Amino acid sequence: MRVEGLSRHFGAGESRVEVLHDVTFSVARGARCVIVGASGSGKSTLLNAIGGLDAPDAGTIHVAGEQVTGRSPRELTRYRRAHVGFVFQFYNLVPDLTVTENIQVTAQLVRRPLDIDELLEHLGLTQHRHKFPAQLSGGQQQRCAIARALVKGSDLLLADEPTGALDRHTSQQMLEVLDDVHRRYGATLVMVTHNEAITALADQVIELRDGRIVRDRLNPHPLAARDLDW
Amino acid sequence: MNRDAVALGLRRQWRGFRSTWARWTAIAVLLTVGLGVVVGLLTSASATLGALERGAREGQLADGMVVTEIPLTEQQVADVEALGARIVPTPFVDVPGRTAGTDTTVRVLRADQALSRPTLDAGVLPSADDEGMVEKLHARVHGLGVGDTLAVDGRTLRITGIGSLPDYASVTPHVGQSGDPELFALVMVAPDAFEEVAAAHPRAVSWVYGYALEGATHEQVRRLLGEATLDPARASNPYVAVATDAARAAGLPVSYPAVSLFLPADDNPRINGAISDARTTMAVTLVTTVLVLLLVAYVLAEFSRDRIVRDSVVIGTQSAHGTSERALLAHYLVLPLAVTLAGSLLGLLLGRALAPFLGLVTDYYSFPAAPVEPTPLVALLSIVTPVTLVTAVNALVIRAALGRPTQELLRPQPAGGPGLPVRLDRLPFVSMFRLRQALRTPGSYLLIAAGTFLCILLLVFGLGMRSSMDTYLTRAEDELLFHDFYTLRFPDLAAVPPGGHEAVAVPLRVVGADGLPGESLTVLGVPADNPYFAVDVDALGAQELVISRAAAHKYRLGAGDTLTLHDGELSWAFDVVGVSDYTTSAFGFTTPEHARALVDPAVLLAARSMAGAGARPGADDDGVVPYYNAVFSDQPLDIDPDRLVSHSTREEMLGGVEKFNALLSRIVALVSWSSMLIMVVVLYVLVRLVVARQWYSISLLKALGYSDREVGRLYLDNYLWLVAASVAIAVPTSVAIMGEVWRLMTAHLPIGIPFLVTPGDVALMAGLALGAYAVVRVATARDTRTVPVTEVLKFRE
Ligand SMILES: Nc1ncnc2c1ncn2[C@@H]1O[C@H](COP(=O)(O)OP(=O)(O)OP(=O)(O)O)[C@@H](O)[C@H]1O
Ligand SMILES: [Mg+2]
Repeated sequence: MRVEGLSRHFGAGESRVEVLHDVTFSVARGARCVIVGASGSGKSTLLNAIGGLDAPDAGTIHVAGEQVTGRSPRELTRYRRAHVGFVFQFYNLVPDLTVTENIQVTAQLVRRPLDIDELLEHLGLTQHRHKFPAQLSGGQQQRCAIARALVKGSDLLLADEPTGALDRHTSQQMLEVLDDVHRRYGATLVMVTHNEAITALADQVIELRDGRIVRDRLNPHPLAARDLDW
Repeated sequence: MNRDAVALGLRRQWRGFRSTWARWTAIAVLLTVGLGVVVGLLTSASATLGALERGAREGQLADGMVVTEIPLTEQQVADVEALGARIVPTPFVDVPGRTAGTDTTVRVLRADQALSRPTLDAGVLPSADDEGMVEKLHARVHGLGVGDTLAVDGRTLRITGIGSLPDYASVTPHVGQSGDPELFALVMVAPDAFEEVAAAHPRAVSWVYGYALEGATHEQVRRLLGEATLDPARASNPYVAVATDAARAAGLPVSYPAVSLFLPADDNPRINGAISDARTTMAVTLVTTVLVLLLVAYVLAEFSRDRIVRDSVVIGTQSAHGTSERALLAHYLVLPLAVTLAGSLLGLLLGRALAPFLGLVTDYYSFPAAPVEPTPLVALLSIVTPVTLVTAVNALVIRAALGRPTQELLRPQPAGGPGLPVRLDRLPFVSMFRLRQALRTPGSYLLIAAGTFLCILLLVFGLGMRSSMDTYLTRAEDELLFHDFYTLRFPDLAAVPPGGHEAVAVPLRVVGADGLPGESLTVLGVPADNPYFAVDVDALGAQELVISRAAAHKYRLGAGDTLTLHDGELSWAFDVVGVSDYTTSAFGFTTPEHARALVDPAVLLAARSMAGAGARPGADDDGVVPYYNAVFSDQPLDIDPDRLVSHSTREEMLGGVEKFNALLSRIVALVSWSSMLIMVVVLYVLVRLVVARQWYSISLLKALGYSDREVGRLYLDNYLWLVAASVAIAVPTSVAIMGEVWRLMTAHLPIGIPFLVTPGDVALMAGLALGAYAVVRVATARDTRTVPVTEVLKFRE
């Protein structure tokens, strides 16, 4: 995945804010990349652009050789379907569907989805499969969201602060799960966080400040999630 | 509250309106159209009743009338007056006339009759011999006004006034049968002019008296006059004397009653028809009103609920800071109430504008002109009812929505709570998804179903009415094979008039469930070889009848039922063995022999003795044809008018119905168009509301990679099935409901077919419903497209 010269602003005139300035970096296939930065530094905006949810003002994004930028909304939809699995900060499950049904929502989108039962088993959700999101704990909801992102078997997994709304213990569990599924299913993982500690897990760490990359480094010795020190 | 607070409150209300103006406007339009139709119909119906009442009061409508063969004697008048009642002559003469180039039959009446006097819409009563007052329907058909002229019996009358008569039987060519106002005119003339016409046509004079009871009873009057027999020497009809003499010569004393018709105003077919029309309109209207208002109230309540869900954080903050629930309730009631008030006021104005065009009965019957204005009660109710209903329903819903604990309001679930704990994982995904939608928002599904149902009901009402009328007219034209229908009082048994086909007609009354004789049914004995009625009567027993479709429909009879008929003295029970396709009159068909058995033997004998002088009872070989008293023919026959009771033609029988049909088409058009509009508005408002409520899930699905098309299919196509299912249920139900309404509406017309909708109507309704859905689908698909994808991801606690 390659991002080049990406810029994005919101608003106009006096209320104009430059959120991303000339952002350039690339991530190797199958790598785990963590983007860190303070609140408001533009992490979500960047991730949304990579995920094809939002169109940048300038710059290009390529994923698996395909250009994401400059596409019509319809082509972006097709791109999201084919390549992207999202895990959102606030889980964002469909409230009136059960766990299994929420996973079915994305499984529907591809011709050959992964086996839902196996995924549920793996994420420890089997006994909760018929519950509605409101009946689940935050950690369970996030696991469901991860399952929903994984079931398509897509090659790019985007996670926007997947632990943002969780306590320390659950966060650690969650990272273990992500770690585990990454190893198992082998997709490229781009994860956004404001928590420095999490960078220890990554193959690559990108630091964002006021919409600019201030540091882009590779981590030769990523830790396993269970060894993480908060 | 200080001024700033009020200004702030108003600004918030205005913002609330502006952000969702389309739905508020839509609901106001719905209310305006719904109430407009309702107020229009109610106003025209109550104007009819008002006009009737006014005509009866101002014209001193007689309590009853009697028709006699000869003028009452002074003694008879004195006897009636001794009862305390008043009886006055209201005679008429039927003469040929000519209006605007059309040959007519003119019924000339005395302008000075003391009871059942005319009510003038314009001009004055005639005072000179060459003046006349013309009845308004005839005047309108021919475009006559005061100062115009028309020819009556060869002389030219100048019109001094246009008006109507409160009277019932005298104003139609035959009692109980509405005529064609183009060909039949009522003209009131000065007393001298009347005497002249009457003197010129002594045989054409009908001796009619109106009476005012003033303390006496109908029964007293009836008994007193009913016992009087006719003195043949004084009868103007020569056959009375001939028949009496012939019978006497044969040793059979026969006497004729002096009174040939006794009709209390309560049995008045014309007035009762108009009243029942107006009452039916009112009943239909009230049912529609309740449905429309409930629909509006619920839709508005849904809006409120939706607003509260969206505002829940604000509400939570406000109540955390101590705003009372009462203040919040008031805040959320302002908009629905303002919209309701605006819609009702506009509806009232619309109804007021529509009412004059809906005057079905005032157009069809002849009543005094009446101001077609909503009565204060209608006006008040049309505002108060919706406002009350909307307040009540909204207050309930708002209170329930506000009743959630404050901290729950502050931390809203993005899109409401979970659905029902039903397991649907065995279903295919799309079905599962749609079913979940339905389970989550059953209220809006119910509303859409109810809205569709209401519209279909109105459409069935409109289209079915037209189809039934059309079908009836086509059938009547097909089956009325004869052109002339004569009934005879003094048939010539020497021979049946050449060109005619004889029958025996016995007018009887159907004994109802209450054991009392009510509606009329004519037993018709027709020879098997008659060309006009395709009924196989030869195999029928004396106690068996084949009834016409009209009788079957009106009296809810079918093969296997028993039917009791009454002739004033005797009753007979019959088995209905079949129904024949004859829709214009309530007939019971049998053989002439069986029908003759129902005729008073004295009448039979008198008729025989008139034909073959010296014929003895029981002798059948004297060259006399068997008794008949009705003749059908395909052209006018040369029959002495003195022998006749009545003569009617195909045109007369069809004309009234055609006129009714033409007037009905206005209401049909109004009802159909407004129901279409209501359907589109209801569907649009509700589907949009549901989609707006689902914005979270919709944008989430789009973020996950669903295309707009797929989102549309998942969220909107449910309603296609819902609408289709509602139509499928609503059509037969509405037909059943409207069938009963139709029976009431046509009770006074010679319309003998059940309410029906044609396959074309059903296709049209399905097409309209689906068309409305398609419009809504396209419009709402745009809504789902404009939901921003990234917004959803910011939804945080
Ligand atoms: N739709 C928008 N309109 C205007 N400004 C926006 C919009 N979306 C984001 N911004 C602004 O862009 C900036 C970056 O937002 P972004 O959501 O990318 O930050 P973030 O790094 O993800 O922060 P956080 O850690 O709080 O999630 C913020 O200042 C925000 O106010
Ligand atoms: Mg963010």
